[in-house]
Amino acid sequence: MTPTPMPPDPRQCEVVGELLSWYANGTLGPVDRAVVDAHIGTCETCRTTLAVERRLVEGMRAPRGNVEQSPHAGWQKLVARLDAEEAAALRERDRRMARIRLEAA
Amino acid sequence: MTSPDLHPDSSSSSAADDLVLLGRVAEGDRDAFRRLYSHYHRRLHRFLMRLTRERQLTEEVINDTMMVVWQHAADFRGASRVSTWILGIAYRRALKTLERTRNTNAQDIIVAAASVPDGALLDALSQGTETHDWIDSALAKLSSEHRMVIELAYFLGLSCEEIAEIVGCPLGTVKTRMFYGRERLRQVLVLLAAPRKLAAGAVPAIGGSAG
Repeated sequence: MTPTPMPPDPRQCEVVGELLSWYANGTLGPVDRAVVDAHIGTCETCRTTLAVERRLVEGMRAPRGNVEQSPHAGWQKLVARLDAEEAAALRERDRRMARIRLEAA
Repeated sequence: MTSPDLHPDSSSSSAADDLVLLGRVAEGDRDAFRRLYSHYHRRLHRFLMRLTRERQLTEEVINDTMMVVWQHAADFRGASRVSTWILGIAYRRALKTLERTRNTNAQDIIVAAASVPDGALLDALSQGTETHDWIDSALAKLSSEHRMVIELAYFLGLSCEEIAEIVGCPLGTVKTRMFYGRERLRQVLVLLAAPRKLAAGAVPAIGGSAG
């Protein structure tokens, strides 16, 4: 005869509840992961909460056609900025050299 | 603990690749910088759009961020992953820009006690193709602090420790923000749910805006 499972301890649900987001995104350390694994094996409420977390992770990671941007235009602007800063640095260096030459003359 | 470099596009980079590229950037290698820029543009765009909600501002912050990377690549000491370092720069640049341009918006909307069983929410989240629009609309109603922690954890797959480093606050604060942010997200999802998504009577009225 199969023993009746113990009802989950509500205090444990609280502890596990704080870990579920990190469990769902795959970044929980092994010790905490084992705590969650052991608990969700017996607690249907927390199992459902975890399933919601996973749906949210999936939903947030789903591609969004309207926000995908090519990096090309941004890169062109950044290159123009880098070129301008380098040109300014070169001009400044030339000015300094000219001053040094003048002072030496 | 490391998180996956979740970039479904072919330009995704590994932490080791990032480190090599950053080393070359530190030597002034523009081709390496262009590759690093391409690798990070998508994730920075997505992350910063959640924060600024404006495409032009987002592009400006991306370039400000990458300019800092170009100028300070040689200062990177490897105490964190390159991605954590770059996202931290982006977060701080975005906050600074937002402070200058406008109020950073956002307290969570006050939600009338919206208690829907997770089972009903799970069913609703499992329906149809509009789920990500629903989630995006709900996230937009959260405070930027809650939204950012959720974005960094769920979309970018970062650990609690990495998020603490990026947003510059203690671990406990990240955990608290995640806990309450998650609660708020659920409540707002219920508020915004199309009537067909959740059982009748489960959707309470919006209480107003918090100060």
